[in-house]
Amino acid sequence: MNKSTAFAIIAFSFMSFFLYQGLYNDPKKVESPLIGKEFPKFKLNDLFINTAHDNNIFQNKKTIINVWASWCLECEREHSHLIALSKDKNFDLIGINYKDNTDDAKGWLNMRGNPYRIIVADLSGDLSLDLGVYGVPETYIIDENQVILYKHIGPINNRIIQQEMMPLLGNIE
Amino acid sequence: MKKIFIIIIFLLSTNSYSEDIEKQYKSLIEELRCMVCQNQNLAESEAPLAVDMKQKIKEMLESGKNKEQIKNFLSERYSSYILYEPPINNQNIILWFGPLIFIIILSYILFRRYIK
Repeated sequence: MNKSTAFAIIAFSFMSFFLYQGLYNDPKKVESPLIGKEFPKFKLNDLFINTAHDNNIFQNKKTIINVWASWCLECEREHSHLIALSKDKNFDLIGINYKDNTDDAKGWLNMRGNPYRIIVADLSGDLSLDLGVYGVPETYIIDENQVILYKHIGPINNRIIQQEMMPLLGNIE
Repeated sequence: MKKIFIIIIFLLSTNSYSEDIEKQYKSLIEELRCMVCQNQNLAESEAPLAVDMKQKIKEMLESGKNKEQIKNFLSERYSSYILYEPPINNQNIILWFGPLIFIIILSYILFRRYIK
């Protein structure tokens, strides 16, 4: 084997290595630039009652914020997990109802149970745009000072809750 | 007569003003990525998120924001992935200048070989 064949093989394996890694990259997984930043300011109506909410709804504890809609099929898949999470009082759970019909949203929750302490209705999608939301469902975790710690795109599942969310929420089960 | 003159000037000026916004809007939506599509810009996309973003861009332009401010606003939220021409930074500097360095090294090697 001469020098140039060896070089070609090395160059080829080098390239293959990177291309192979690329196979497992999810093009939709883009690190959110909002992590480490404060939760955006908002003023939105409650889903159920005619009151406006702003950033004061956050209590002085870690909070999970879940963006969902009644028209979203994937939200259905993660709903039981949210119900389970809502039983833990060490952290708070807030819902953002994304571009939904209010009656549909209420009906959806009536059938499946409401895990959220408060739901704000983001009819125009403005807050969601501020949050960098791609689509529903999305889940965020903020800390006591409303700084965004975590973002997950898509439905949450047991693995994500145990491995990614719980360590941030300070509950290691 | 004077009034008509003023009205004409007014109409012309607002016209050029909205034309300017329209122009900025068109060039912006071509430079920004539709985040939920496979390699499409906002101009080409009718995905719900893209429609929302276009609406937001229009509102921001109308409220007097310039193109840079809007690009910053969106890339602060959706990362610089949204820009089709991302800014040069530490993470991607090798992609910007790598090929140039490669050509320089290669031509140096070929040149050395040639003069031997």
